Amino acid sequence: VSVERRPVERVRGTQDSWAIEAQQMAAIRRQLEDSFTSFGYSRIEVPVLEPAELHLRKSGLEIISKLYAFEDQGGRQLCLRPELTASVVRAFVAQPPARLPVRLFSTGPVFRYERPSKGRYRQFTQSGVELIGAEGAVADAEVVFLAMHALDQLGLRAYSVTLGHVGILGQLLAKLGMSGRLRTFFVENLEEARRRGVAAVRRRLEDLDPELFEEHAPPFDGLTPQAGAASTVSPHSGSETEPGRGVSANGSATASEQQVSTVVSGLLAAMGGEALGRRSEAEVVERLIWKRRPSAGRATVEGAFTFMQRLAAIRGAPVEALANGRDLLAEYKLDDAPLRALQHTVDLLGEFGADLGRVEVDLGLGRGLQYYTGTVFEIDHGGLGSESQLCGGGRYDDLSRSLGARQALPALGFAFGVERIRLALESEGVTDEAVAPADVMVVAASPEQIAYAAQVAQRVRQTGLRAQLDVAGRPLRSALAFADREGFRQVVIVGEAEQRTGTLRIRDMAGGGERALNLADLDQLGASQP
Amino acid sequence: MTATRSRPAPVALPGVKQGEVLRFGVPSKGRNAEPAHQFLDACGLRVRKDSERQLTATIGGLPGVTVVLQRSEDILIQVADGRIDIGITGLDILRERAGEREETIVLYDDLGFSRADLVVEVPDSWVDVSTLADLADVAASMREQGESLRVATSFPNLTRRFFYEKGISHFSLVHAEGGIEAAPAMGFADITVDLATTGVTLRENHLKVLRNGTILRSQSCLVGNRRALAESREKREVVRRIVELIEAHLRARAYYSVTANLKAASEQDVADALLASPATRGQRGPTVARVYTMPDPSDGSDGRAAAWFAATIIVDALSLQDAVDHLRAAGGSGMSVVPVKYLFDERSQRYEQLLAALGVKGG
Repeated sequence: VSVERRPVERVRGTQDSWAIEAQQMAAIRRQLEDSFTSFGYSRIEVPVLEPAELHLRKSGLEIISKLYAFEDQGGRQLCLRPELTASVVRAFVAQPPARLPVRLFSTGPVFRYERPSKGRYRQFTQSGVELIGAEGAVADAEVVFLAMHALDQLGLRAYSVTLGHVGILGQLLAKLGMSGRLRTFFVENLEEARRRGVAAVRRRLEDLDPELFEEHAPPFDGLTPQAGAASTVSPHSGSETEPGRGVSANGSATASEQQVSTVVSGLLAAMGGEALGRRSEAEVVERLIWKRRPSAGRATVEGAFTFMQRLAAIRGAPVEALANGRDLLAEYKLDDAPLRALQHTVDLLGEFGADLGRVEVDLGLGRGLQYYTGTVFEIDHGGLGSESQLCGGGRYDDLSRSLGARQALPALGFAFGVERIRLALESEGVTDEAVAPADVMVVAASPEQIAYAAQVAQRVRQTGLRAQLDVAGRPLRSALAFADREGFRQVVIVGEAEQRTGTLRIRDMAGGGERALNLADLDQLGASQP
Repeated sequence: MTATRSRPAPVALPGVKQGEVLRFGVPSKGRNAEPAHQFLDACGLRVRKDSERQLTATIGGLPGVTVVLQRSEDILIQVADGRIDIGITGLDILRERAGEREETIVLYDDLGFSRADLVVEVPDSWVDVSTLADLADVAASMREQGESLRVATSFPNLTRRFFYEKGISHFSLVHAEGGIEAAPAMGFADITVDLATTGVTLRENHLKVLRNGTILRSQSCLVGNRRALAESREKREVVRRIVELIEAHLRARAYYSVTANLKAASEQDVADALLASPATRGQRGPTVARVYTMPDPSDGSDGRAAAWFAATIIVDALSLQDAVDHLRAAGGSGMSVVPVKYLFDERSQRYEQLLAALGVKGG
């Protein structure tokens, strides 16, 4: 077969959804949106095409590494949206509503360059809500409760909710004086630590930054819970201040820093003036000094790994997990506000009427997204195998500012994966019957009656029934056989006699009987259905 | 972050020839061309051109094969599109342009020539930058100043994927096809992602390779069109012969055939002596044959009490010296060593792997 005549194939990781499956998808979307609406959320539509920048800025590697990004014909850097939240917040920042909070929901396709497998696609459908301008446990609890309610409305049973809080690790990293790239690394990899263990995260960091693990400090001398807080990790030491942010290592240059500066200047002069490109000598010197400081972050990093490991091990029923969490935080002398917030959220969920038997607390839950700042949650389904996540969400109080708002706005939301919900319902045997594409098929007995048949079909539609006109121009017998296989229960037949008398014949496909009806009495058609 | 990439216009292919079974793409230009032809020669697949200007050629001993001479980049595209059945291209090109195009199947990802690493190179003068982590810091600080790290490369897809995986998300790609190393000095990029071949080029352009900045270790590879090979038994039969020759050649490269003359009472004695040591056992054991010598009147014997035998063993290159020492200790002399040209096994492993990957049984 020549290249030009071959069938054009579907893009890898995308799906064609037909008949019953397409109907189920539409029904799930409708029911989810009904639930959102019943809680006072209103619809927002956002574009599929967005500036790549929107997602490069704050989404984190999990999203960025899977971004469908490209340059359009006008040279703009664009992407197909990989999720809905950033788009909704962008729209919000561009046109902030007069009154807060705002409750918004949206549904639509999102795109990620995933390795396709069952339940994991490159184009899939998200449906979710954003509650913008409300802080505190009540808002958190309401959003989680809405997600559970929406699944209950669909009749789904075997789902479980996992609650976590990304603020705990953030607090420790702040206490360690860690900022910039390293802080981002740890926040982004909490989820990796939970799934694959801290050793895997360490290998990743070693691969990225081998120098961090060489020379200088002896191994594992860093933060131990009791000794650590006071000595190596004092937040006031300033030793971890990032370069390029206007603060030198400890305020003023020391003798050795001046030596470094002199040596580097000499070296660069020998290389020729243009060699640095767009970077300045001061910047290179400053980074070099920062990099070469004693125990360059090693102790800090080890301290963060130790904490991460212990944090990721805390999961279970809320009462128990929260108690273990409080012990850990006390040991590290960290503020337990995140745990109090989680406790409050769990209590409220119970009071709202949620089934707490489904709820777990997992302090290693990281979601892999960079923009979360507080409570995070996931909903999983036992019947889905490895791709078990149905829903993910959390609080993102800084996102609006990252996207250009003048001030941070407390906000949270979640998104369901609609295809996964369909698979979950299927695994529980909650599936709809296949339905015929229309209630009635209208057939002209001969080509001369086709105009009359079309008028009859239109009259049928006016009674509220769905009517399909047979346009194939085939013999009546073939048309009836087709209608039978398609699952039509009734076929309206019009011939020359019917057209003359303004009547029609109705054939009952199950029983095989026929009766005549006046066009004026068409509303009886529905009544005759079993 | 992205850059326009002009897909080279494929050269028009000649019409199907009488009796043509398989189209085999072989590089004709660029750094892969010369090594590819040498490699095929060494495999016993000599490409024969009637004239220098022809775009097609034949292979001696393999009728039905039309060699299509093209650039490595075009070969990949033509194979993916099914205009060529199999072809030699580079792993760098394969991963950059057809990361996962299912139409393409890799028959050999290690032909062992045209090796080059795709690496991240930064100016020498960036004395504070030696790892990807440093580069991520520089990218972040440029971004804070409203600029973006400009990366010159002809491998935008591999670069973007690698940088994203490593946490460098803010950069812009500057597409360049040649002389990429000069981009930082000329000021149209800050760093480069390029195939590092010699250290000289790097030094001349005052660049250094990041210590963890190797994106891909590239070499030549043999790719095929999945559909064409799955559908045609006739094509597969020709591919089998090519793959077997390549496999036997690559396997043979690591081996020598060593022949020594030994004096002993019988073949069995020679065999026993050589089988006693792992160094002289060869692959399956020595081949021993009687050497018929001229009667030597000086020793007065009739050549029966102690005869000469020739023993041949196949040894891998690393054990060659060991084998020679042991043969000598066993009384060996006049040892000749020749490289093995082919080493065929009972079956071709590569071909069987190919059949499995195609989902085809037997032949």
